[in-house]
Amino acid sequence: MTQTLLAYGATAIAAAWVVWSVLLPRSVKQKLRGRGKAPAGKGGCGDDCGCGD
Amino acid sequence: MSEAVLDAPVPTTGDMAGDSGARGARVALVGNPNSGKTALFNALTGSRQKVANYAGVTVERKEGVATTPGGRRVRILDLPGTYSLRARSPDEEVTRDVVLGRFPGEEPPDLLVCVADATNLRLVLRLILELKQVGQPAVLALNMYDIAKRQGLEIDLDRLSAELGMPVVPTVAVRKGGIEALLEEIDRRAPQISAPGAAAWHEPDASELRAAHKEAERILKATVTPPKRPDTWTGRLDGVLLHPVAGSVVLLAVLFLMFQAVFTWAVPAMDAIDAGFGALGGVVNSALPDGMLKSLLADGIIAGVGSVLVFLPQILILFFFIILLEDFGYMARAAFLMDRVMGGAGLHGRAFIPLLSSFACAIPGIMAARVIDNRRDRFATIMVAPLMTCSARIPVYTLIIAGFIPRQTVWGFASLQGLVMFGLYASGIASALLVAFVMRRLLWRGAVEPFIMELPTYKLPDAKNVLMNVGQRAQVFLRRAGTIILAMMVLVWFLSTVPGPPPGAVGPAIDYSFAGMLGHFMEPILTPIGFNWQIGVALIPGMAAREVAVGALGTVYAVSGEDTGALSTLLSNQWSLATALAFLAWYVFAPQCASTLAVVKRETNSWRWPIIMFVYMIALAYLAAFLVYHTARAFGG
Repeated sequence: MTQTLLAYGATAIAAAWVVWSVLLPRSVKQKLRGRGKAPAGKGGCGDDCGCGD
Repeated sequence: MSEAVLDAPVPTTGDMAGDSGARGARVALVGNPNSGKTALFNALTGSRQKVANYAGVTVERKEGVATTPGGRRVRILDLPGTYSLRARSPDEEVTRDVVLGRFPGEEPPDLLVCVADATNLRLVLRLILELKQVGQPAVLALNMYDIAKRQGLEIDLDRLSAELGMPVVPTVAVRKGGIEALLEEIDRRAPQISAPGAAAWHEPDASELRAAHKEAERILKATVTPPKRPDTWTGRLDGVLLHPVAGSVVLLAVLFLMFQAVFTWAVPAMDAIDAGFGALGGVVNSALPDGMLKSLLADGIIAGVGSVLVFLPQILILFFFIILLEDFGYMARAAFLMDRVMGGAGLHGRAFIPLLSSFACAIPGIMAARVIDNRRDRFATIMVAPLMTCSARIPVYTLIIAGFIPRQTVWGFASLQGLVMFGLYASGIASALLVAFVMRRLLWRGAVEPFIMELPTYKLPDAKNVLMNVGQRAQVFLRRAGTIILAMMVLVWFLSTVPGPPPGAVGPAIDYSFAGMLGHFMEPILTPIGFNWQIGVALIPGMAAREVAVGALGTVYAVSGEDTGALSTLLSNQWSLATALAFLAWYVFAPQCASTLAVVKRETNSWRWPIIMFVYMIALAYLAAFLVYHTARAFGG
């Protein structure tokens, strides 16, 4: 039972992370964070792909 | 004026100067493409960013903080390279608008640092003369000064400073040479900072342009003495490397060697990583009692993430070569060689830079297309950028090649696996050119604009820079493995495990899971191209990032209870050669990267283009997989 709860908990966290990082558009995330624009110093594609550019 | 102008409000100099003190004065780096602005920015701020040898690498705004010897904190802006304030492309418009204080939401800079390539002052002098009209205090950083000295160029720094009316500081940004002197000069110029925004620049007419050109030539003659013995090495090397035949042969040989190295050098490290994850799985299996958590850790996370991480050595070797060639100055030559081919396909010569960036990831490539001023040319480049083989495809390719292509030598020296990898990259390039050719004829008729590009001088690659960039690539890959790939693997495991099989069920548990249902639902569509339902399951999470498909296959087969060692060995037992080749063909075209589509929408400001991209790429992927599968079957594969 404990194993099942832990496994399902991990799945719920992973699902929430995927929704936040992959599915939600950046504009929605900025509104939710209460920011008007991307933080200064973020060049290239920023967080879009994690390519580091 | 107080010395604290740059770091504290000084109301006596006017409101804006007071503002600049409160927010930290803003210093903008302005210069021609490839003059070393980004390297200077890194040296000033310590910020770690990519430094490349080909023109136009700086596309986005970058800001950092530097501390002067006087203890002032100044904000440094790295602006896109430009030849003139008469901007022609979107990135040049950014530079012009920021410098003139017209950029929305961006405060004008308090001080301009004009960055010049000391080996090539001709073009930058005209830009500096334009910048002088802006009326802001300015300093000239004469970058790559060591190379100019080595070439025998003699530059009269005092005369140059007097002619331009601004201090001149020689710098060697990649080795942090002259950085202290430049910061001291920023300190000295601080008292001159006044209210920014007093831009007196206006678009010059033809006579003003001619006058500026004459003035630049006069200053050049007065201050620069050409070398007594001109540099012959660059000429000799270019005689070979830019030759239409010899240069093309060298380019092909360089690419060929690169892919050979990817497959031969990486083997020991890959075997070690594979063994490490195998051992970790063994520890989890023996330490935990049977249950969901054990299944999640062993089948989901370790099998899934491990099957992707094993490709880290190959990705790093590939980037080691790309960065080495960029630093050497060869990539700009490759662009020159490719220009004729790209022009034939209807792509602008400047498209080489975005397309080259797309070998790392299509997203920076698509964003780099901003360097192309013509809308038709820019959109054509954006639409084909995802066809270049991005690093996320490498795990997919290497998995299938390792499982299905024998590790044997052909022609006495070449690895067959490396040859196949080379062929897949070539297919990506060829398909990009073909699609561009068709699109230019169907959607964007019109002549391609001419391409002018300066070739940088050859430089010995800086080991620290190469290692830093390779290290960044490793960080990026590991971050992806620890975030998106890990999260997707947990979800794939969940979908492959829940719901469990009903009482009395005889088939594998995954057949009764959500993933099994979905896979079986997709099977009729995928059967004609030789894909089984497990591949269908892997394609869906692969929408988030292509390499996730590899991890998903690892998880799906692990949950199926078919884990008999390395994933590539398992697949070679489960799939026919025709299926494996069709899978490779699918991934040459597959549009499976949601982030790429989102960036296309952002860059084109329309949903139309990402939709067209998705539809054409998925149609091509299906068609290519279908043709390859049935051709391979006909030959007994």
